[in-house]
Amino acid sequence: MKKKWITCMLLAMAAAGVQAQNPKEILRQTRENGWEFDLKAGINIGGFSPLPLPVEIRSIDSYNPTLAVQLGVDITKWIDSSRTWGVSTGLRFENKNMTTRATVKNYGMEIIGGDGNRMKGNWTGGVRTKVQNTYLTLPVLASWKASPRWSLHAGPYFSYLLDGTFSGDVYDGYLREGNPTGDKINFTNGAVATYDFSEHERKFQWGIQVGADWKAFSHLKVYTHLTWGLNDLFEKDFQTITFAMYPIYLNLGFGYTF
Amino acid sequence: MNYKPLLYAFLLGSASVSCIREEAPNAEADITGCTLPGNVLIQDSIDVDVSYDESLNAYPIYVQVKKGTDCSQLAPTFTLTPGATIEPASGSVQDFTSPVRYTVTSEDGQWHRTYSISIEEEKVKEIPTTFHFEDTRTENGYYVFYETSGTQELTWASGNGGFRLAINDAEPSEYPTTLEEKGFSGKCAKLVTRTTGSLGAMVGMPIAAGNLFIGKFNLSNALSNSLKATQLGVEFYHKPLKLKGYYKYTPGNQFYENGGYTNRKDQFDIYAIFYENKDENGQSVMLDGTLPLANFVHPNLVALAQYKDTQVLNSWQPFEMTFDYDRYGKSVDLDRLNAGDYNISIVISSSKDGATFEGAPGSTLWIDEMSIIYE
Repeated sequence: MKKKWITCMLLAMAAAGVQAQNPKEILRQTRENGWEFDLKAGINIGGFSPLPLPVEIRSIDSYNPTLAVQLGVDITKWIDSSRTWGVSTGLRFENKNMTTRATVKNYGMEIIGGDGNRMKGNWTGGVRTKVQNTYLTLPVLASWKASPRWSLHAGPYFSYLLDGTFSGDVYDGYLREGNPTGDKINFTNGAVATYDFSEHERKFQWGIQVGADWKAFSHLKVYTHLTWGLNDLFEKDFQTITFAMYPIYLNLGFGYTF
Repeated sequence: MNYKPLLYAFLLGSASVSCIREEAPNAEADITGCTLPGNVLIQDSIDVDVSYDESLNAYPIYVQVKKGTDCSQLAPTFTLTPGATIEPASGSVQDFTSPVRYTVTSEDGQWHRTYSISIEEEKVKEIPTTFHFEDTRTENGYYVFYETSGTQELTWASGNGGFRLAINDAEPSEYPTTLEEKGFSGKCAKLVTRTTGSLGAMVGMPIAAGNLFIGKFNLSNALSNSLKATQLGVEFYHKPLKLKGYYKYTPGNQFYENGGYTNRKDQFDIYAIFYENKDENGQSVMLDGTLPLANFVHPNLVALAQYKDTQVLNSWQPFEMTFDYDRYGKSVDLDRLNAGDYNISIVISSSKDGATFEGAPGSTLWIDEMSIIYE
């Protein structure tokens, strides 16, 4: 699924390149008018995390950002005559992934099966989580050229979830059914309960993006941006996970400036 | 590969708020252990892993003490969930001529659990040997069969408690082990192999066979090790010879095994065991549902009765099984028999391999008018 989107993106950009007539001349003119086009490719490192970490989370036992890529175009329009201030936007496909293992204590949870049956209670033990999300993201950033080589960007971004997986299992622990004094149900000897909340992921995601681009050569940029999600990963009426989880990702990558 | 330091560095860099916070006080309020001072206990340990009793509005703990123990002055001591407190205090002297209620309060002060502790002098507890399957009570939303005859009493155990975890809004009649109004004579027990829905599948237990057994179902291990959770046996002061009764059986249409359906024909299972309930060091021995997988080989087994005849379908059939003592080559010691050193158990299931989650949903076994013939 993700590969398909990336392929589409590449094809779209290739098509755009073919259509341009005398591209060098057009680019020179648009640059002179304050326009700048970048093709960017990079990786996303980060995670979906509750903030602050709820008291129920006792330790994070493992974490792997896995390989999460982003690919997109940026368009910047430098507005003022000195070409110091500008506005950036663009479009990018990006993965936001993570796998974690955490140990929780007395963690309120409710597992709802596809047929409506519920297992509700307080879990103490291990929780494995795997997130693999693909978003189409549109940033709207204010840009400031701090020096000929450095430019800084800040502003909101808006993402649409194209494809998402949020799944995992609970293992090596026990459930107190209903509340902390309920029947104790052990999950030991390899007993696990798997869950899959992919269907409850929110489609629309937004947040704040801040970052810096550094022009290494006339056409090559290195960039790092932090994107901080401001709405919950899950739909509003999804109660199984009692706290909100926010995507916080650092993007690192290269850009080619036309 | 572990990228944990990366995550910490990242979270630290991005927000100082995202650290692991100080641990909250415990919310649980359990008695995790109970002992009595002096050498007065019959058992090696007191079973504190008990199910809630609605009629008592408490978790009942039953303790037997040696003959001649003064039950009006006993001072049980408890271990509790760390940080929890108990009222009356652990080690305080109480009058146990009637049950004493203890309340445990969790460390965070938010949660309470009330236990009712009964302490009795050891006595012979005979079970009835004829079973009519007329009497049930409803506990936690499902039927529990019990049999009384004079002072004799037996409550049948079943796996219904485990089923309830997966299917929580089932009617009593929708459980694997349930009651049928029209039996061979009066009412009877009806055991049905059921599917366990999405949650059952989630924990790798997609079907549940209806079962009845003499012993205890340990709910806390129902999902981790359902075979070991099936604890078989109660003291029996006679040498059993035969197990008789009536059955009616209809197997389900499609057999479930290894994640799919096959044409295999389902079969029911009835077996009974007689065994020594102490090992050579005098420690209690409780056999469990793993026994059939071990081909009924265990050093404590004395006799085995198994249903081996043709399984006639769809009509009431009498059955009679003989306890085979030759198989184990052991004699029954009369003194030990009178001292309560032998256990008996009867296990009935609507799917022979239901314990390993193989069977045909819909397989139904009706059981009625069963009796143990003994010497």
